[in-house]
Amino acid sequence: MRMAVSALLALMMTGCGVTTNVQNKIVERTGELTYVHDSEPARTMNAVAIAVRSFSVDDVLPPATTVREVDSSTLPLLVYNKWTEDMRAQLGYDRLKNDYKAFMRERFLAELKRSGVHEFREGTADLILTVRVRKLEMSAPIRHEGTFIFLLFIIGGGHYYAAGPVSVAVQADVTVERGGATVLSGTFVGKHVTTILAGNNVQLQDYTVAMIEGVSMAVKDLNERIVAATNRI
Amino acid sequence: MRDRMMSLSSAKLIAAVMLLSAAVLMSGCGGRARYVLITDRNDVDFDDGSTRFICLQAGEAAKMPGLLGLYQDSDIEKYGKTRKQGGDPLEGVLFPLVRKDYGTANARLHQDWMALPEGLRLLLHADMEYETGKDMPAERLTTLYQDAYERQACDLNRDLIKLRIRQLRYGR
Repeated sequence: MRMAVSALLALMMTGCGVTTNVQNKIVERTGELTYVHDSEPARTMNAVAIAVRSFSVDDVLPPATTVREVDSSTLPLLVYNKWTEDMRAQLGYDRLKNDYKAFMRERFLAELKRSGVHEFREGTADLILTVRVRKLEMSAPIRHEGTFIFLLFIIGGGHYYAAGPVSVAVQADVTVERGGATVLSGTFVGKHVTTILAGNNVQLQDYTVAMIEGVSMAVKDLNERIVAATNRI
Repeated sequence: MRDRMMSLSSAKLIAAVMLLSAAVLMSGCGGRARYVLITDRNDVDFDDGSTRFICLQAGEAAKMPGLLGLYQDSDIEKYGKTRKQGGDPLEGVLFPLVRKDYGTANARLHQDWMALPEGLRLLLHADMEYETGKDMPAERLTTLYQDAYERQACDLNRDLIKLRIRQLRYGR
């Protein structure tokens, strides 16, 4: 009876500490938000000028990068046993080498000057644009699963990581005014989904880079969508 | 006497086996090229994260056909034995580049800057900064790649530049 209880306890504790290990690996890497602008530059400009009244970014990223366990299970089949642990990672700005708010603002202005068909001006213009980035949703799942063979003591087994895909959605409220009247008002969402890292020898440190890449590319998508919409005015 | 002959022939045999083993080992030891030159007609596996490709236009490629598609260091060394010194300025930059001699490639790049096609010299400049500037911020390198992106004659290089940014992110 005592042996059976010990075995069961061993089974239950197999997954313990995994989340902490993953967290330690995730916070090893830092990176910069960056991307190459690849939208088609505006060939012809129209006579309408555009200015940005404000481009503000709420605190859409938490300070710290975290990994939390969302589910875990063990399937004890006496000899052949299986366990699974599901986790969720969240990128914090502690892993970023550059200021994400400044990055979003600078890259938006660069996109407006690149693919916008309205002449960009500082101060006053025919069209006045206001952008407020107010939400960044990230889904970054990590599954760690494994098996082991138990005959009085553990005699073998293996494990496997599947990290990703990282899905990022950046949401912004946008208004464009012309002569005091609102001509465009809406919520725009920029999205990006990365590839999955999978295998029994996954470099989990790369998952931090994948999250940073996801944010970079979602910001790019958001900026391009907003500029494309202003081009239609 | 017989024993002495036996020991001599054994020593020769051991030496021959050692030489043969070394030759076999060395033939498989050829390192992989980091930079590979291609044209837009090449069928290439771009998923190879550690290899960096540079696309040449047909006219440029025609000047240095032997330098295209060299994936092994040993093939690059073979090419080096047959090349003529003082030839095309672009070849003068690309040969040390594929040999991983980034110092010489960088010096030749700046020496012959105006003689090189604009798109390629900007791409090569960004690559040299990437290879030699270890602590350079990614944003600065992205700016260099952005400048190169806008001026590529070979369309494939635009996709390759986006791949460079991924390699930059993941430190490949």
